[in-house]
Amino acid sequence: MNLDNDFELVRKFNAGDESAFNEIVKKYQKKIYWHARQMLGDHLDADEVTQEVLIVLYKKLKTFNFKSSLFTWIYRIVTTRSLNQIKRNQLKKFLSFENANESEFAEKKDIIDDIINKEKLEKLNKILQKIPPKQRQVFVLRNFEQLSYEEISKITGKSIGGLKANYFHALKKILEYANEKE
Amino acid sequence: MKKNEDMILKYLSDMMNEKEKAEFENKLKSSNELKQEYESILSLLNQFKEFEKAQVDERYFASLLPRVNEKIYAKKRFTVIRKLSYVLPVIIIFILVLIMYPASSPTFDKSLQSITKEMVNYYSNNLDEFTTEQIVPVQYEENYDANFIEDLELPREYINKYAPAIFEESQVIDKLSDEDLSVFYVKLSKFNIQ
Repeated sequence: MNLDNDFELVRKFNAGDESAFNEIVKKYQKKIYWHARQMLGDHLDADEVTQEVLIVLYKKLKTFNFKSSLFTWIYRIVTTRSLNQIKRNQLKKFLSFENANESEFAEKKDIIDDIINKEKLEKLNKILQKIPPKQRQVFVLRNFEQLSYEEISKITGKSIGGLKANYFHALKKILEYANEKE
Repeated sequence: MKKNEDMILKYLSDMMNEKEKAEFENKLKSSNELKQEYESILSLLNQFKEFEKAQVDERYFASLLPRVNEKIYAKKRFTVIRKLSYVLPVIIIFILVLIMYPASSPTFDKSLQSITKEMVNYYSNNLDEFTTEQIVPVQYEENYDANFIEDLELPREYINKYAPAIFEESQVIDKLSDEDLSVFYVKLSKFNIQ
């Protein structure tokens, strides 16, 4: 990540250059989407969170204090919003607000084109969604985003020891579920 | 194949001290069985990295920014209309006051103008804060608290038994602010069924 460039974009945006915001969105939109997608498991929820995060960015970039990287700051927002969306979904599911037909319809709406990849990714996604959200969060940030525990700690506010334990348990569950499938 | 699983996972999770790490790496060089098991786990984990490499409909990402901009500007327009709906009555009252009670002295005129200006500023500023807060709770992301995310598992029995009485429509959940959602969620998570 080019931090200087990020800071420059934030400064430009705060000085009134709206095109700088477009640059930031273009740079980070896929990262935001895929993080939300892996956390939430389906396209519609990921789309909702991605839009929400970008609106928050627009509204709050002027409060960015340049103490952390823009990347960390964005991820803090994405992880918080994704976990909140999981809570909302769990509440709705438990309270039986969403019926089976809606879920089936939601699954059909997707942006993944490649059928071979899609099947494979769906399998992985199902495994991922079985892991408790907090463990999933660490797994996604470390395995998919390739972040260090220090960086994850800055994003989540958790201790490094706790993150290591979460990652260990996430890996254990992934192996367990992957073997179940086979 | 599961013989060395815990040891491999500890290594991958960076939970070994330097001595254990060195021992593991030496064993990895000398034991084919461990090497095979290690590589099979790595291969599984690497598959998860392929999400972003998947062929996707790029039109989605191309349309994302325009959709977000549309929402941002719709909110801005709404804010201006809302602001006007508060500010206009204040201005009308001010004009009416001037008509009905013509200024008897320059001091009266000045103080009336100053009060009105203060009122207009007050409404404008407060409305800005109000509208922004609705979209993003102030200081919410900055004050991200490690304890904020409680266990994301709800006691099903409790919810099935009591919750329908609390919420009648799913829209209520969508309308909850993030902070209210968290408070409600934590309360449900910690509730003990008698």
